[in-house]
Amino acid sequence: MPARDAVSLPNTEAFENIADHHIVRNFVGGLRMMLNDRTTAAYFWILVGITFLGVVGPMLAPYGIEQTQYSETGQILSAAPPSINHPLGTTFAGYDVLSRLLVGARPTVITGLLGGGLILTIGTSIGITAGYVGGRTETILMRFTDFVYGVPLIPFGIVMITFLGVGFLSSILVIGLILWRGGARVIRAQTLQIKQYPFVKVAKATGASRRRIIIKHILPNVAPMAIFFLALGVGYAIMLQASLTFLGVASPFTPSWGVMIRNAFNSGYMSQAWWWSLTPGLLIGITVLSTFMFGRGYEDLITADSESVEADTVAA
Amino acid sequence: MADDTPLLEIDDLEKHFEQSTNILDLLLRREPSKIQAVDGVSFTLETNDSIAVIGESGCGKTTLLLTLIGLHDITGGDVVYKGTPMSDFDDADWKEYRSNVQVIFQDPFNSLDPKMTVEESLKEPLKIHDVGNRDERVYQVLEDVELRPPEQYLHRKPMNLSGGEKQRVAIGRALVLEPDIILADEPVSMLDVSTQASVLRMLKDLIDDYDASMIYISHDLSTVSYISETVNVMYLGRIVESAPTEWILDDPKHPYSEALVSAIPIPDPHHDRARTEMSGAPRDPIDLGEGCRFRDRCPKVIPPDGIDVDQEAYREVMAFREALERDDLPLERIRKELDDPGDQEAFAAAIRGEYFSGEMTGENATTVDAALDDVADGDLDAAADRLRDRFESVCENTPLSVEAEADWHVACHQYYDHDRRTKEDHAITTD
Repeated sequence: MPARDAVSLPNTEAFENIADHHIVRNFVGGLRMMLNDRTTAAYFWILVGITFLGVVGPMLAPYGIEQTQYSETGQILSAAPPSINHPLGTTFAGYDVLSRLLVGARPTVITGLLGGGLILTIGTSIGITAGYVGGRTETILMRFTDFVYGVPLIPFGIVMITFLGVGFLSSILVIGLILWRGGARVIRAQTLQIKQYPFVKVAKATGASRRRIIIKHILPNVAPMAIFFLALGVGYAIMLQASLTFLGVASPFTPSWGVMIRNAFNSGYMSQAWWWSLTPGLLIGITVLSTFMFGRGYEDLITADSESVEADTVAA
Repeated sequence: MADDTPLLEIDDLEKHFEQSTNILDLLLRREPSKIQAVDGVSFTLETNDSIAVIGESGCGKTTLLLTLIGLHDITGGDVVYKGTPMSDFDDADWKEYRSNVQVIFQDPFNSLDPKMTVEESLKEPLKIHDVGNRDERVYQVLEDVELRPPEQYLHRKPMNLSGGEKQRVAIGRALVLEPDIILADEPVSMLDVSTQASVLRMLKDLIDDYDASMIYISHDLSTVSYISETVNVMYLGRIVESAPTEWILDDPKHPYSEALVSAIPIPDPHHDRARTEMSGAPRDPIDLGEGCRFRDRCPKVIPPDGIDVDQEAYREVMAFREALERDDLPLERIRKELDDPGDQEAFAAAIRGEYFSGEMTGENATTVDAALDDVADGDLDAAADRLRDRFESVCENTPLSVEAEADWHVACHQYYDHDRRTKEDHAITTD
């Protein structure tokens, strides 16, 4: 279009191209529709807030996480209840709970994003490949998925971590390597359905390559479903990481919220110093709840939107 | 290109699907039964020609189309495009074929990607075949399909288009590469009647303007005369009649075409006309065998010489024989419904009740009764032999196609000239 060509600034041009790209446009469009729903918007902003905490939390922390707090009389503030100086109290070792929470937001967010991202990537790749390519490839991939379904998660995590070594990242890896299974199945089912639509047949008849059909037609049409699984994956990853940490098979040195609960439990002061484990527990709960509810909001949205290809699958 | 090479030649095209086999079939080494969706279809599309293929749902017309665009593998015969058979296509031939043969599907609501704007959908074929000048071409094609002004439509998504507008975009997408051949699968049947006419007229004009040829597939004979000069009537995977549209509409020769033509609605409640009676539904196209495929439903099925039988009664015998020879009789069910499942006589009577309505007399009745007793005794082969001996029809040997008049092919024995050809040479007359 001549009008746009007249804008010669290369940067704006590039930016417009990105904004114009159909994946970005569909993503932004979908998000905007979701935020029209107030409940979904509320959960969305909670998630944005937690992500924000993950970025700036450590800078906001008033004390160091391993800085022992002393009372005015010079005694260690061991498991002190909330006060003005320490609004969320202190731990048994005299650390400030609020600071630990703020610093702990970052590992939680990283767990969610990395774990969810891993689940999304593996699940979508396997699902689309199996669904679109079909035949023997599909059989092999889906039987493998069935096999992974049979793997009990926590025992597998414990075994894997003894191989990979106890660590923060290895616990995320273990989660990602298992939890893609649900997404793979659903996305395969959707791909099978989309593959049968006339618009895919027309593209094939026009000579579109397999790659082109997957990228331009299948992917954009399964993308909303994939994002739904991303949301679920983020929630599951955070929850599971907390479980693994609590069981002691994830790194106790990364001060995540799961580690806080574990420390509180191990100290034997859990019932007296309720503030120590309650707040991280609540935060994990809120985060996971928000991701699930955000996903659910999406589900409602596409079920209502009858124009959308995926409406039938989700409704079924 | 040599002048006498036809644009597209469909030569005895065959698309059979194998019915899925289970482990028992494998163990017993049973031959998988074949679904003969398209079976021995031949016709030729010349440049600037428009040919229609007509038939009821399930007759194989959509399979024919999907085979023609190469989405199904051919199982027999060939499709020859500008002299090159599809079985010899290399990658470059396929690319050329895919840019020159475009398809319009029936369902406008799903033939556009819901995530793409009109502009993106129209540009996709151009990008695939690396054609330049895309903006202008897209603009032009939108004008051509009467979506004006094009600016208003470029950035819309299918969600914001009406059914007619969607189908116009789909037509535009098929035309944007300026193809030689358009394959249209009931392009207007899902539109409102008010939109049908205008879209159809536009399609017809555009095919002329773009210098393309068209194969138009439909179940609706009434729209065909707008579009095509030649009609092929298809029944159970085969073409039963092929002639210029006017001829078939005026004087259909094949009993099946006759039934189709007489089913075209006439918008006049007082109009009185003789309707052709057609009973039952088409068989499943599985293991069909030789001869005319319409014979078990045909009101004009030809009895053997020397047998005096009422036409309706004879058709019933044919339908019964068909089910018997294909082992399709619902014997289990009929027996279960009896008061006394052991009573052979009642069983034979119940089968009779299921398949025969009228009374027959003389030798005919004796043969049928004897056959029914055989069936009741479980001896199906004896029953089949008995019936075949008396009732075998010439329709069981009807060739694929008979030239009734010049340019008028009918697969019906009524037009089979026994003086000119003998029954044995029907294999050669399949052209």
